[in-house]
Amino acid sequence: MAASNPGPKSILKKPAGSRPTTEQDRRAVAIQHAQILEHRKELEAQILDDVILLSEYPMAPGATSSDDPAPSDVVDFKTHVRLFQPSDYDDLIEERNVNGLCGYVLCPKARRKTGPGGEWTLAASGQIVKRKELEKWCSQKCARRALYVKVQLNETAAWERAGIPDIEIEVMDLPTVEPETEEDRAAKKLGELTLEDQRQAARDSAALALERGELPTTATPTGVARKTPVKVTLKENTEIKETPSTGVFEDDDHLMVDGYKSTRGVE
Amino acid sequence: MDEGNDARSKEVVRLWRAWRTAHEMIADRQEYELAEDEIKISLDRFRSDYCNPDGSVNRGKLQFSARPSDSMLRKNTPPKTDSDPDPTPDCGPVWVEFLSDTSFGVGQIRNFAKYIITNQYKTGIMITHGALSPAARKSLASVENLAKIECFLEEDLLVNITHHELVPRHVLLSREEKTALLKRYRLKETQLPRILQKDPVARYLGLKRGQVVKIIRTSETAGRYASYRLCV
Repeated sequence: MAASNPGPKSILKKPAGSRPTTEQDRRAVAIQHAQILEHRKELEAQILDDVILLSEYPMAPGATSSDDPAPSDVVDFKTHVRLFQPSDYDDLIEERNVNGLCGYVLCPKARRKTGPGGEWTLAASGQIVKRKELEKWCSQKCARRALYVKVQLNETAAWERAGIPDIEIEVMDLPTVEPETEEDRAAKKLGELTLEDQRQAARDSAALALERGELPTTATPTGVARKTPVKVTLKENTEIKETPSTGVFEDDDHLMVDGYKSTRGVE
Repeated sequence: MDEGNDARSKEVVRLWRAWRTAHEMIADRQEYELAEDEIKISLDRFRSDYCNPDGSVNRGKLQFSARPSDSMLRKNTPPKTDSDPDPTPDCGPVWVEFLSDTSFGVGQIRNFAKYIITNQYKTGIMITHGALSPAARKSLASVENLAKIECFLEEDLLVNITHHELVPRHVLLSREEKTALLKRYRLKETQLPRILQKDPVARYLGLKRGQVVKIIRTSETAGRYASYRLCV
């Protein structure tokens, strides 16, 4: 009789997201986690391959300097560098330096060698800089171009970004545009600044008006808010219908009991 | 001229010490076949054997290999199973080379790995002058299942760390000894204390993941105290 009894039954509630109980479920979960890890490993291996590949760029035969890189090289560079973290990019620069190349991927020149000496050296600008930093590049231009790419890279792990298609790395190659002077840059910045100020003022006043319960205003570029008149017409229902009397019930019908009206308590 | 000579002889002494430590390291790793006079080479002999006439060291000559002895091969052979009736031993000949390049990228690592694999060595030890690039270090892991490649800096081998009085004796346990240990104490592997693979002594002994070392310390109260660590 008792043999069929499966044992004491728990009176506790089963947790909602209960753990997988059967062997198969557990196996499925383990496999899923293993696949995630495998994917991460694959991505890491791919990034390492990309580092090794890019450490020998540019591939196009005619390239002479980073001023006019071959379009195919630029496209390759952009696609391969897409998933890099800044640290991977540093590895790439170092690997290129080991190969004797300038740290910027699109530059075919050899890196600068400043000859024997100590840890520090004088840069062209007169600053004292680490020799290692200086010897990473062939010129200051390449250093700026390489760092322009580096600041666009993301610290987030590669496997979290792999699925996002709109990560686009831009390359600073302005072969035709003249280098802008300090003044140009300042003027441009000033223009942006005033424009942005005006926009901000307009936005603020609109928000304030809304908060005060005023009518929405349209902000003009000069910052003066103009009210648009709104015509309000009230439509009132003045007619009141009288309820028709039925003539069946008297005023004190409610006091009647079986056709007899009690006289008690009325006085 | 005198200064040049001085620097050169310093370099010779440095390399001689690294050379000796490298030999001691191989000799301490179980039972490789190395002659006693190879290990304890004197500075004068080192000078006459490996230096150019001008007094500088010829790094191209600084390389040697060692074969494992038969007993070591026997110890490191996994037990026979049905699926693998003729198991191959885990250990094999080792190749040690001093490399003269100042910087190491993936290219140099690949060349070295290719040399190791084509010459059928199981372990390759490269002793370098400069540090490896980060990408090169990562690429070491990718050839791991073909051959074991270990990298040491010359300056790490100037002294033999295991001869220091604060470093206790580490003894590598063989496969049988390990199973006996786990059985004796009714342990699972993971219940042992651990030692990292990048630990200096673990690197010196070339430990692989899953191997167990017995660490014998002197103890004031017990005389000797042995503990065991699993390499992770």
